[in-house]
Amino acid sequence: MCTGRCVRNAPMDNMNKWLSRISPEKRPLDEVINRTLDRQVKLAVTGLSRSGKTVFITSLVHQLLHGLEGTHLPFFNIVNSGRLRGTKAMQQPDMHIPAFRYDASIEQLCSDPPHWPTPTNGLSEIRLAIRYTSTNPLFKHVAPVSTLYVDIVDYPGEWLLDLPLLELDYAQWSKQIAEACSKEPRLRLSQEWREFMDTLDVTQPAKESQLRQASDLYTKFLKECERKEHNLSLLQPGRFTMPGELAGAPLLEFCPVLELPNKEYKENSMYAVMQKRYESYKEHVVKKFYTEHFSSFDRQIVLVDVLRAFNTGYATFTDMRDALNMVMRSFRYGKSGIMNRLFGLNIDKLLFAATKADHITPNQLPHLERFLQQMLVKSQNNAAFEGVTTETLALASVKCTQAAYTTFQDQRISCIKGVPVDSDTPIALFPGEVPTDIPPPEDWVDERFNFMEFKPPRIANVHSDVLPHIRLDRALEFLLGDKF
Amino acid sequence: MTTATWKQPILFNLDDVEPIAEEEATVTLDYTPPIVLPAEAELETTPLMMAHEPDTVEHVAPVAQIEAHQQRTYQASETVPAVPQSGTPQAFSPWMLLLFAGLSFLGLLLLVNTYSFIATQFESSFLIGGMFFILISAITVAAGMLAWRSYQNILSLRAISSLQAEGRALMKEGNYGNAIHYINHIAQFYTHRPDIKARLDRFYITLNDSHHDDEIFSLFTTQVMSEVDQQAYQIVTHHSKETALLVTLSPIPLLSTIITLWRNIGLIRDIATLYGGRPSLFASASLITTVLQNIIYANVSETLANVGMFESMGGGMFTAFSAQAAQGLGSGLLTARVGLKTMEVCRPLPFTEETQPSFKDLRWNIISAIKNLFDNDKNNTKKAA
Repeated sequence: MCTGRCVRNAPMDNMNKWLSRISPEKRPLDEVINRTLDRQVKLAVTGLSRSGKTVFITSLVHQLLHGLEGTHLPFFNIVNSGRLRGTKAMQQPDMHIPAFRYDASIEQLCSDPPHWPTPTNGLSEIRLAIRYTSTNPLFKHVAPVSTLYVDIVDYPGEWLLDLPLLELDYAQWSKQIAEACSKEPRLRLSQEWREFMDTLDVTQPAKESQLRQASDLYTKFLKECERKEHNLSLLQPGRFTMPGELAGAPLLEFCPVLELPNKEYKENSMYAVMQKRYESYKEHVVKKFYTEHFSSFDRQIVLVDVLRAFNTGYATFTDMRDALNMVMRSFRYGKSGIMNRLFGLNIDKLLFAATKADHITPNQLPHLERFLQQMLVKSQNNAAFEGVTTETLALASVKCTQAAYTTFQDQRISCIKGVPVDSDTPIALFPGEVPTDIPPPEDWVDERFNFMEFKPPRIANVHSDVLPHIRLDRALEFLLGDKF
Repeated sequence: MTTATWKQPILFNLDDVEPIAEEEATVTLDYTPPIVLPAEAELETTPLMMAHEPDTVEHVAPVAQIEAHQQRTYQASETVPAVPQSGTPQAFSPWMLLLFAGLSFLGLLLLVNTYSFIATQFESSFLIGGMFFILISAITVAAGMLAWRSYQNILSLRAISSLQAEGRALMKEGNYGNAIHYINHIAQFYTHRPDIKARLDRFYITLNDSHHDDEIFSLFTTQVMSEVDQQAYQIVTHHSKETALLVTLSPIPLLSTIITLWRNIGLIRDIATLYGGRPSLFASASLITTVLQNIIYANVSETLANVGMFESMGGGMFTAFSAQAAQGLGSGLLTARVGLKTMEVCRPLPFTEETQPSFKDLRWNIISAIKNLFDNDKNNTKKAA
């Protein structure tokens, strides 16, 4: 009897498995309907830490909320054609996630003197409802005013680097880290941790104190890498440097090993314990983060702070490039059809954006775009292969400099005016040249690139004035323009 | 301006830099009112100046060479074509003969046709013939004079062909900072028009110092020129309808031809006035060809409608009328083509491939206008019956 029932149920189980595979999470019906009807967009704002995600989201929300008032989004068609009826920040669909603190961020940006919003240390979400006059021949008469919901998630960029871990087991990951630590600058920075690891025999039974010390030293190494003078990006696991609500949990007390054990090890050995913690970190932290927030995007923008890489050198640049290319593999790309909207979703438009475009002279914007294109050529190629529309843009979420001309050595050259981040007096400068091709490693000498950071612009009245920006309208048009 | 010479940051005195012309200051910089530049700033620039001096010298030399080379090539190109030019006018060209004979043939056809029409009227009655003769002469003279006046009006406008060429070059280059001067120049064409002035003001507010040339062009097109283009489209549709109607009603080729000429020149004048400039003589060659085609069409088709169809199809009222209508429609569509061509050569900012005026949209406007005309006619006849 049992066999009979089992046999009968087997196809059903398979079916369920199959369904759950293509539909990664259970979603409420109205959301499915909205998505199928193209009324909802989930925008992935991707970027490593300090690439300007929070400022981008703040500025994007700000520009859209002020969409009716002005002429600040000339290339965003829905605004420019006068079809926009207004935008409102709504309550987000996921109640357990904190709301994105738009008010706090904008207040910081517009305070006197203004400063940049504090870096994000946790997850937050915002939903925007954009009302517009429909020109769709089907809906025009039924519902002349339509609403598009845009969901945006803000999160610490550090966590993004956990996504590639999903594909790696502990041994593979350890090998990867050990290899990275055999080269400068990691070789130098990881010395203390490596020396400690060399004293350990990972096949011996684990001691809690040793485990803690190993993970503390590893965390210290990661934090050292993150510092301004090194600016390395590829720092895994992400929760070590930005633990969020997990601070102090035993889940975070592990680290990779430099050499895989070549002899038998017991269940309670150090290696086995760390392996177990790594797996549970993947299962409980990374997978949860991925399935809840990263598995179902429609559109993606990848923010890259190219200028920061220029300032610190070739090692930072390659690190940033590898980290981004690695992260990009975790997203699902492909043409979005009605089937894709019903079950699991694909990103069908991908924008690579070089941020802080206001820190260079405007005539060099194409250089910055070209450089970014070369930097991420691998990811762009992968996405384009899947039928995804991609574009590269140099943008500034908040424009804090002003373009000007001056005469220098009898030549008229373009320069910028702005207030450096560590001063109160404005300066005028030619910030240096952005190369269009990736310079060979020997060209990245200390004085070659020195792009200055600037303070946000001063805004007289936050509620009526709109934050100046560079090409944010073009980014919006690319990401959302076809949804109206 | 070459920034390529300097790779590293250079600091300047704040008073020495000039803001980008005609653009609003979007960023407020005054944190502390008196701007005192730190003394170190100047010190930093000095070694750089020294370090890069050789570079600039190196850079200047090739430019001078290129200029010298260009001058040489210009001189060469000026002298070369002089030789074959002297030979061509004397040579006998069968094409010229063909053209001359063709035009004379058409002209003769017109005159003969008109003569036979009037002669037929005279045969029936001297009074009717006389009246027709006087009226046809009057219409011809009046339309001719009006056409001439329109032509004079067109000549009084500025030639904008060189401006167009400059725009095309700028669009091709896609640089930064050059387009705004050009756009300012074009904007002067429209500042006296209140409806476009408002759009211009909006355009200037929208603009900021980070916009590149291609962005400025695209903004100017969508925010300012699109309005002018719409008005031009209306003019074209209006004139095409008129031509179609008048040619449909005109009974003889001479009238059709003179009406087409008059309406076409009027159309060119209206569009040129709207855009604020006329094409130079060289650029208008293609326009003249299009107008000529239109006139020849009016002439030949009318003759055919008169001679051929009428007889072969039994000469019924309806046949005559439908032949006339088809001919009118053809003239209307050709006029629309003249209109689009005029838009192309008269618009100071050249059209790009995306903004190129298309015949497709206009065609249905004109056809439906003529259809409406007959529908009205039918309704009227029904009512009358």
